[in-house]
Amino acid sequence: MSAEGSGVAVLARILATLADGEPSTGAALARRLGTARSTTFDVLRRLEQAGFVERDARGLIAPGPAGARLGFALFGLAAIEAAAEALLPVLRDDTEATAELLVRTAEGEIVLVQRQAAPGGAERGTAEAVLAMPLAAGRPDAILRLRTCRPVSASERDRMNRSLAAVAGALARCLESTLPRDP
Amino acid sequence: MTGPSRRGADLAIALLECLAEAGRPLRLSRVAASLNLSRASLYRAVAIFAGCGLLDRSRRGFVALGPVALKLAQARDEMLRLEDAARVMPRPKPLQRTPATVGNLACHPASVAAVACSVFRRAPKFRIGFANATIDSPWRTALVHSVEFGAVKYRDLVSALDVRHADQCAARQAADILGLLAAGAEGLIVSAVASDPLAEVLLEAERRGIPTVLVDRGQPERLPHVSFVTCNDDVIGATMALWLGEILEGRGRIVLLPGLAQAEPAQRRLIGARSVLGGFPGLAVLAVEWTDWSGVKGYRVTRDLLHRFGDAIDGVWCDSGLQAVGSLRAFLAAKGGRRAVPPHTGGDLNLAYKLAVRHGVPLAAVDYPPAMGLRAVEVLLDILRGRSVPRRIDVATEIVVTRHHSTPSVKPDLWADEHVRWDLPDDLILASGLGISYDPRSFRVRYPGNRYNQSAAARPPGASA
Repeated sequence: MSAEGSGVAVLARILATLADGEPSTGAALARRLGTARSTTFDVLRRLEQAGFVERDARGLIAPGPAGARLGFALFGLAAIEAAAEALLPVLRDDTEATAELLVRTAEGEIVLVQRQAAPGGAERGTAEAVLAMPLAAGRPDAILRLRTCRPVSASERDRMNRSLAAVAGALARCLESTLPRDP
Repeated sequence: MTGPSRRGADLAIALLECLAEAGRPLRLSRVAASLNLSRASLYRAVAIFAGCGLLDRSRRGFVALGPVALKLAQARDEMLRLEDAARVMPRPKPLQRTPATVGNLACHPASVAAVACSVFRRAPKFRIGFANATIDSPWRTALVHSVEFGAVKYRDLVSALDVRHADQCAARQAADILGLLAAGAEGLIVSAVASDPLAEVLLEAERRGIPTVLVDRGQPERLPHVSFVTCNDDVIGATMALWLGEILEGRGRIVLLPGLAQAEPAQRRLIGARSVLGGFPGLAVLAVEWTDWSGVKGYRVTRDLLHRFGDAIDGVWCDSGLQAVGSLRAFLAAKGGRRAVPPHTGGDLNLAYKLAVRHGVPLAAVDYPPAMGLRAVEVLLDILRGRSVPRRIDVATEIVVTRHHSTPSVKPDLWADEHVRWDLPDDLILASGLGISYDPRSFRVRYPGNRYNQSAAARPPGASA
């Protein structure tokens, strides 16, 4: 394989490995892939600069935001990946309910982002908001959902719905500001 | 074809970015043209990616993202979920979410504004600077401890933490920030003495590509920053005022003892309180006296008010227990046990709860959490790794009320006797986020940047680490 092809191959295998497994050190990745450390580290540096990999809280290599964006792009949602990561934790904190961004397909639900509230037993209530998707013919629905395991009063449900609407509106604005264009 | 050609890993990255941007299958010919690639190079790269499932070539003449792209996103989400679970401190009880408090996300548009931070991305570990307004109260000590705890907790991402105290002097804080930049800080956490004097120096940091996270205080509309980590001061002041109005059944005479006049949190809490008290026409405000968030000044001010108004004071609104302890002590000294101390507000400090519970004083408080220091470290580390963050983060806190003193609109998350720590010092700040065994007097911490395991909170202003 040419040097060009080997660079592509190492990159592809790094991303596929991270998609399948746990965060890892660069040296461990090189050993696992059977590639030269210098080549692996060079590709990792480029992937890190482009945001496809990053260091997690332990300093290990993990998929980065640009990597997650690829998965979101499958459903036309690349434009909201960054905002969803930033805002779902605060939605969870504001409502103390599990916050999820998911797509609903013919085959079922695919959860893209989930931030969990403290566990507490059987699910007692949900609230959902469907994100308006411009130019979305043929796309599955994108849903922002809250799930809670604690009793919810009418005023608390109203509060949850307002917080949900605030975040859903922010994500919808991200979608609206990005128009699809041909390369 | 025009423009530079791409090779190897750079070619692969450009291809993936192109497909992510499009969000749909693309014609191979058009991809080759837009990326300035020969068809042979593109086809080779696509074949390699398709072989591992990152791309899909099942549709003739087209290339699309493959199933492994979704797995990559879900692997990242799993990693973030684990980080999040490690970050979130369990509460003793779920929050009651008192009906009077509105969700923060609906209050502040900045809470749902995500800031893109890829421009700040750099390789860890990071050197962090914390420019602290002052170290003159137990709350400030707890804030510093919280930031230092963050440096230790995330030791795999932090190469050094440099803490500087400005002794409530804006000029000194501006010099501190320039000093932090000169010492190589790659990110700043700032609890601002004042906003206008710091705008230029934070703009300089921004020009150098150094992100700033504001914590606790600072006017976000005036100070260049990426994110502001705080707690909703308007709600704190308003909730405590609402409780006081309701516990007095809308009638009586009260005094307001806010904290530090120059500090934005104190100003906002007072505004929040006044906005609520206006809805109780039967309540008369006898006096408003600033207390510098000092128990000593709180005592002196209250003693003077008692000389002026005697038994006419039916309730005392304090925005923090830092001065409420002084007021409570002044009432206890004046009463000599002859009459009940009137309802008070103001928590934060362990002694405030001890006094209220011990002497049967109705008290309500919304603790202002120094845990925001740890959260600010987490936000800065996210920024330095290129992750998007909210423009504003309100750290959740608890409403605490002495037992049997809840009101129709203000329900406690905790009773005061559940919250108080009889086994720990009076000057413990309870919402530190540092765990149930945290004791400010014995707090020792080791991180790159401090010496002898001594907290920077123990260092006087101006002293170097």
